[in-house]
Amino acid sequence: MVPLSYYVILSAVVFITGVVGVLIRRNIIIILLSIELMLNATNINFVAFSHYFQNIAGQVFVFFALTVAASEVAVGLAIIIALYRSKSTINVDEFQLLKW
Amino acid sequence: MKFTLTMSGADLLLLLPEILLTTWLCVVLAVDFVWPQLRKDRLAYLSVGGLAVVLVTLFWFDLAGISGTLFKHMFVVDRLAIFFKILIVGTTLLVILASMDYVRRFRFFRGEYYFLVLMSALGMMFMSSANDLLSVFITVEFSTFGFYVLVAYLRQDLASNEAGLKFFILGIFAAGLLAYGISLVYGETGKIVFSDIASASATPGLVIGFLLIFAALGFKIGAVPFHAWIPDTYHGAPTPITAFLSIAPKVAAFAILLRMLFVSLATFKPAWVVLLVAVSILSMTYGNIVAIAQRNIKRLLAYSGIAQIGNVLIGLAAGTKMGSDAMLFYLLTYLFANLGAFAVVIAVGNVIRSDEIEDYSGLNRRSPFLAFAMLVFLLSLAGVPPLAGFIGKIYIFLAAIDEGLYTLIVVGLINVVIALYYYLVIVKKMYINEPVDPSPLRISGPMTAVVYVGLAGTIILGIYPRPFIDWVVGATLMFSNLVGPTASVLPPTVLPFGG
Amino acid sequence: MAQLLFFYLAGVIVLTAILVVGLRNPIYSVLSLLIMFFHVAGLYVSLHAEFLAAVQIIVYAGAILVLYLFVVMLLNVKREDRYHYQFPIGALLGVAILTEAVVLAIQRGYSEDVVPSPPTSELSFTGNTEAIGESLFTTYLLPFEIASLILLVAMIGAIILAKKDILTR
Repeated sequence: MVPLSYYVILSAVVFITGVVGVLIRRNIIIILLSIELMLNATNINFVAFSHYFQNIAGQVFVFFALTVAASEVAVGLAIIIALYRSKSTINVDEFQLLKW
Repeated sequence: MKFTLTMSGADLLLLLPEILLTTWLCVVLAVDFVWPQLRKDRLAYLSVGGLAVVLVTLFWFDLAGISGTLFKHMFVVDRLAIFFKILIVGTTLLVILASMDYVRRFRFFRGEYYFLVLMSALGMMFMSSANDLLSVFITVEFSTFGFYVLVAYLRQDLASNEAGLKFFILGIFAAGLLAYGISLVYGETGKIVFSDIASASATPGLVIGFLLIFAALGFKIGAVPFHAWIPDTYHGAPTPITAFLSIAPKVAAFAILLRMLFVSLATFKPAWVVLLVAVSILSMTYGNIVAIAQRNIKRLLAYSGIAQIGNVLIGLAAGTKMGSDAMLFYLLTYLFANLGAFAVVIAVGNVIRSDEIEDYSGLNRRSPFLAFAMLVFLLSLAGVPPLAGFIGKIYIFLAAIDEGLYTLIVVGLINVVIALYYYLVIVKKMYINEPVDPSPLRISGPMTAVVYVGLAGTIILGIYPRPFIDWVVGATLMFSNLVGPTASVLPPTVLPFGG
Repeated sequence: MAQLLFFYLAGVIVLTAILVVGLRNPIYSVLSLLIMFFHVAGLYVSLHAEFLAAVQIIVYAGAILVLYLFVVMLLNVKREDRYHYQFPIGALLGVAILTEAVVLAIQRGYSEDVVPSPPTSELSFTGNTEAIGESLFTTYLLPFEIASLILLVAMIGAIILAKKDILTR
C-alpha cells in the first residue's frame, strides 16, 4: 500500500512546478498551463485525502475545481484572443503600457 | 436510489434575496435578447429596480431578525451576512446608476454589461454567506469571473485589455493558491466547515494551508504584499468598474476573513494578530507614500485604496468584537466616500475624457457642485471632522487602543497626515488653479443622484452616527462571546420571526 | 505492486509537469500536459475515484486541452527564445520551497497507509459515482447551482471578449 505522504509530496512537487512556471515563463499560454498544473496538484491532494478519510467532500471539491478550471480557460483564452487582435503578441513583457 | 433532500419553504426563504437576484438577472438578459432596440438606459433602470427589491428584502430580513443555516452549515444567514449583503447590493445599485453614461463608450454588448455587474453582485452575496471552505472557493471564483470580463470590457482600448489580462493572471494564480491551501487544511482536519475546523491543532500543514488561503484573500482585498494588480487594473478598467472593484469584492472578502479568523482560528489569535499588524502597517505606509507621486486620479485612488484597506485591517487586527464593529463601520464610511469620489471621476471623465489630475485644475469654476462633492469625499477619506471618515478612524483607533496595539496606532496617525497631504494637493488644484477650458461641465441626472447619495452618506455618518453604530454592533453580536477558544457562534437552524 | 504503479504514475506526472514548464514550444507543452492528465486519471483510479478519473479525461483532456491547442494554432505563436529575467530567482525559490515541503511532509509523516479500517461512509457500499451524485444533490446542492452560474458567466464572458467587432468591420 502507498503511504499518504507520497501523494502529498507528489502534489507538492507538481504545485511548485506550476508556481515556478508562472514566475519564470513569459508566454501567457504557458502561464495558463502552469496554473492548470497548480489546480491538478490540488486535485491530487483532495482525492488522496478523500480516500484517506473515507470522506466524499474531497472528491466533490475536485468536481468543482474542474468546473472552475474549465470556465477559467474559456475566459482566459478569450482575453488572450482579444489582446492578440489589438497587439499581435502574447508575450507578457511586451505589455508595458501600464507600468508595474 | 433516493435522494434525501430535506428543504422546506422556510429554508428556501433564507435564500430569497439570492433567488430574487438570480431570477432578475436572467430577466435582464432575456429582455436584452428579445428586445434589442430597447434603449440601454431602460435596461439599467430595470436592473436598478431589481436591486432595489433585493435591498428591501434584505432590510426586511434584518429587521425581522431572520437567520439560520442551510445545507449542513454551508450557507449561513445572520445579521453579519445581511449587513455585508446590504453593502454589496447598495454599491451595485449606485455603480449601475453611475455607469449609465459610461456604457455609451462600449461599441457593443452594452446590455450584457448590466447582466455581468448583477452576476458579480450575486457572487459577492454568496461570498458573504459562505461558511465553509468549499463555498469560499466556489463563491470567490464566481464573483471574480464577472470582473475578469468587465475589466477588459473596453475592447478597442489596449489599456483595458492589458488590465484585464493582468487581473486575470494574478486572479487565477490566487485561485490556485486558495485551492491548494484549502486542500492542505482539509488534509489536516478532514473537515471543511469553519466551525468544525476550530478544534484543530497547529500542525505545519494547517499553518501553510491557512497562510495560502490568506494570501489568496489578500489578493482579493489588495493588501500589501499582494497588491501588484491593483494600480494597473484600476487604471485600465472602465471607471465605473474600477469604482465597483474598489469596494464590493473587498467588502465580501472581509466577510470571509472575519468568519474564518473569528470562528475557525479563534484559538490562534496571537499568531494572526501579529500577521495582520504587519500587513496593515505595510499597506498603509506603502499605499500612502506611493500615492503622493501619482499623476492619474484613478491610480491615486488605487493607492489610497490600498492604504484604506490597511486601516480596515487595524480593526481586524484588534481581534475583538469592538474591532469587528469598528471595521464594519469603517467599511460603511469607505463605501460612501470612495464611491462618491469615483462618481465625480466618472462624471468629469465623461466630459473631458481624461483622468489626469492636472485636468482637474479649476474644477470649481467649471462645476462648483462636483468640486465641492470631491472636496467632501477626499476629506472624509482623509479623516477630517465632522465627516464620516473621521468617526470611522476614531472608532477603529479606539478598538486598537483597547488591545494595546500602540505601534499600529502611531503608524496609522502618521499615515493620516501623509494622506491629508496628497488629498489636499487635489483640492488645491480644483479650487486655486485656473482651468484651461472654463466651459461648464454638464452632468446627467443619475450621476447627480449618485453624488448626492455619497454626500448624504458621508455627512450623515459623520454628524449622526448613532443608528449606524447600533446597526454594526447588532450585526456582530455573535462575536460577543469571543473569549472562549471554541466559541460556538452558529445560530440555531430555526427561523425566529420578529425576534 | 501498488507501490510500483504509484511510482510509475508519479514519475511520469513529475516529468511531464517539468516539461510543461520547461519546453519552449507551446504545442509540446500542451501535449505533455495531455500525457500528465492521463496519468493523473490513472492515479485517481488507483485511489478508487473512478468518476473523477473519467471526468478528468473527458473535461481536461477532451475539452480544456483541445481549446488550448486551438488557440495556440489560431494565434500561430512562435517559439519564444528566452525565459523571464526572474528565472534564477524563481527556480531558487521553487527548489527552496520544495525541499521544505518534502521535509515537512516526511516529518509530519502521514505514515499510516492509505485505506485504513473498514470504511463506514456511503463511499464504499454504493458505487463511487452514485455517492458523488447523491452528495452533489443533497449537501452540496448550493455549490452545484453556483457552478452552473459560473459556467453561464464564463460562456457569456468568452463571447463578449472574443467575438469579432461587427460594427466596425
